[in-house]
Amino acid sequence: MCVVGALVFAPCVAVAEQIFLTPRDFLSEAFEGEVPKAQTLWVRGKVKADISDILGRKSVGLRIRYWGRGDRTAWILEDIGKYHPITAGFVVQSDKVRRVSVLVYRESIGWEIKYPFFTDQFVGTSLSNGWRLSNPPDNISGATLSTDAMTRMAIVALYLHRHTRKLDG
Amino acid sequence: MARGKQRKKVFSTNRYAYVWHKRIGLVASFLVVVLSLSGVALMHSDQLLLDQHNMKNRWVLDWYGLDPESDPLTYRVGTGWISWLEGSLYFNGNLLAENVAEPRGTTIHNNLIIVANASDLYLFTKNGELVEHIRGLELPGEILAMDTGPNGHLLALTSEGSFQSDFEILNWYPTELTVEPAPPRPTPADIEEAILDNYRGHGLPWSRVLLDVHTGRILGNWGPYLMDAAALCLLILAGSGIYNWIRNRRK
Repeated sequence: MCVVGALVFAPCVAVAEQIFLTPRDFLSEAFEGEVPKAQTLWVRGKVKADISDILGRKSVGLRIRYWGRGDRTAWILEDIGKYHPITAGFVVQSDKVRRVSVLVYRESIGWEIKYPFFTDQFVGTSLSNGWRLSNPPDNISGATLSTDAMTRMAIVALYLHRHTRKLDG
Repeated sequence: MARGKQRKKVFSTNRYAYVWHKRIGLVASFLVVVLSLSGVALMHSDQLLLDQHNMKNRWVLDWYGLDPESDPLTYRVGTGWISWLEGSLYFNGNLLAENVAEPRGTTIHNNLIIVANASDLYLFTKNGELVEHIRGLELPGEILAMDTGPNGHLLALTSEGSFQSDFEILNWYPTELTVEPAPPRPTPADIEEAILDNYRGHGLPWSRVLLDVHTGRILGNWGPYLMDAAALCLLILAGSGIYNWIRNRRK
């Protein structure tokens, strides 16, 4: 099964956005041009509590939109860096992160996280016990909070990937 | 005789010091209590969550002049009311979300409250829980108006034309149908009251009030001078107390 999800966590704030990659382009790259239709996953009960726990806050949307095919999963997630939400795409396959892209960045500093030297650190990482990554990324000086947000989102992507696979039996 | 005069003078000076020590103490005591209590509270503001809790007292809020600059914009949604006031969104007077731009359309769809502004679409349950926040990049264009169409699907008039969503609002398709922007309606009095209570309560953390009490600024420009006077009184009390103690010890 292949799943791509859009998870919306953060409130809207009118700030200058730097769009590095549109969701459409990200999905197209994730699925090599053939983007499957979007589906929805309702986040309730333990799943919602777990996601709140990972993100460290309660304001988690009840519905996650996703697209899927095969065993590859990719998610478009948002989490707050310092003041503003960062939108990032995660492709997950066989319970491991296969690709990470920063789609929209809204903070004034810390945009270095968009570069492959940072995002590639997530490739191959998986979920370990206690909501941690098996290979946490190295921090970028001056972008600690953005790095933390990307790490949290990677954990959520891996968690949701595993959850959708359980649902599919 | 001279010794008696000297004793009388010492007694008079001591008495004078005692009387003024007492008077200044009485005058300063109220301000010192205020200073002390507010100071202790501010020292522990993190533990007491003073930054996270807001003042609700209307008298204090009025004193600070916490009135919104505009009236709420209110729209009829099913049997309820969606209101927007300076970035905050309300359903029947209860806060739904913050940092939200002015709505350009509101409706009930699939038992969810839908609110659209230029670049966002918000989906809420009727209990006020956020279901999903769909951002501009996932919308067909800048939203100019939004409503439920005659076929029960969500219709959006955007900068790129008219679009209709599927039932779950996952995908958008061009359509010939169009929708007009719905004008706001007068806000019912009870809803406006609830919104104003929430708005005012949102803007004034307890830490701000306590800091202003501590520095005297809550009383305006002269307040800090009053607190200066209290500090001066404390210094005089310390001085007169030491003076009295030395005098008593000599006896």
